[in-house]
Amino acid sequence: MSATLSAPVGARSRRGGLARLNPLTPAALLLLLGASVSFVLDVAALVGLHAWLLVVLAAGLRAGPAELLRAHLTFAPFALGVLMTNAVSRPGRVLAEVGPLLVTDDGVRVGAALALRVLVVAVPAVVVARRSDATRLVVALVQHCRVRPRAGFAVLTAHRMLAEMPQRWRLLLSSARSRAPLDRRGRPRIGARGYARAALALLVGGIRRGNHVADALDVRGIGAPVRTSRRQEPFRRTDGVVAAVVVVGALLAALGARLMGG
Amino acid sequence: MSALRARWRTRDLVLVVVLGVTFGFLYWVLVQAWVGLSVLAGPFGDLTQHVLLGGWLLVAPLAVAITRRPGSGVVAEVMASVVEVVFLGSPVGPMLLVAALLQGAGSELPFALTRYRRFTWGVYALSGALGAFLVFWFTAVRAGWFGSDLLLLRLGLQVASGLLLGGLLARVLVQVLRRTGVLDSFAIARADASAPARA
Repeated sequence: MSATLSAPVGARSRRGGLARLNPLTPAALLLLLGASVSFVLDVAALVGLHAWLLVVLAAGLRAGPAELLRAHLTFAPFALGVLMTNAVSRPGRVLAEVGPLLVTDDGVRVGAALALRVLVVAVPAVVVARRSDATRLVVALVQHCRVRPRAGFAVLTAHRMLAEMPQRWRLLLSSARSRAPLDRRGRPRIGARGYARAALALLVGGIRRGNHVADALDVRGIGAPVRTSRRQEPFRRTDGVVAAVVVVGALLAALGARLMGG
Repeated sequence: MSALRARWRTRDLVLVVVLGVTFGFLYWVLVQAWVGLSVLAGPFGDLTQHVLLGGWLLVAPLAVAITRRPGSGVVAEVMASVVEVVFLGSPVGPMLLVAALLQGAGSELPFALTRYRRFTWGVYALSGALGAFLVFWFTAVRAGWFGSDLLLLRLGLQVASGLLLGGLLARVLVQVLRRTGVLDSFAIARADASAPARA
């Protein structure tokens, strides 16, 4: 959890490969990956694709084995859940009986593909997100995607708030704990009500701060129709080359694995 | 209606974004709970998520009810999903953006049909149910649920959850927030002031 949450601060020192790209390039590639993978149910192709993506992450973004392993483990329970439910809830040739449940070959095949899909999409997203700079991304969105500056600044505000949110959440929970009644073993019990209260406090505090920020933005004329920007995020030739290499490699890996896997 | 066409104030914009982010974070907390639940439930883990699904629809009716701006629900829902995907790394991945777009549109439609004037229990309930209903088909296609034995059960669970957690709960939450006073400068307060009898 906190590995991905605290990342924007820690990632600064090893942003490496992404620093030379327009921040929209990796974002667009991730979107493309998510969209295209949605139509793939072939286990071999997904394995090939995933292998290629790991190579890209390791070589291009210098993601170490420990980081990649952690990213996989984060999503493993979810992937496993998808696999298990699908294995016992689909028609097909019966492979095994587990109590009242029938494990079918179709179920296992589709479940494995869906579980793999989770990893294929999520692991690169986490690794890229840890290396991304939110300010650069917003500037690029304003310059290339016609996002209005006011909206861009609102999003940046939100991003800053998000970075502090786990800390505020922990603070609210510990204050709830200090007020909560003790259970039999002497530990404070927050209960569902306590969590609900903390969530509401998080929301109310956020809205209040949002109001202050909005007034501050207005005072500084952020909503003015014409603005110039000190920062520039142009597309360079590197962006095109990187995108082409990643996409062509992904296609070759997926097709190759599919042919080899039969 | 000129009030509907008026330019968004910065406060509205920031509020919608803040709502999106806060709920993005809370959704993520919910995901942790749900992963735990699905591991506990073993092979039916996938099903337990349907019970909590409505929680994902909460932010859209909230944004619409407070700002009364067309599109605010969709924007808030998409923001929440951006937070989940980009910053917290949701297991569902970038296609969550499309799901969020559908959810937001579904949740906002009932309010739009009343031209953002009626905010009764019924409209909220419809909002949650419709959001869940729309996104269900998208998820069903992606996850290949057609042909699975559980299709109708999944649909029923999700719509019920949407109605309760994504609809009625939103109205409760709006009223609680209203009482804290943080919404006093928004359209919801002006609407209450002009028609105090219809709460």
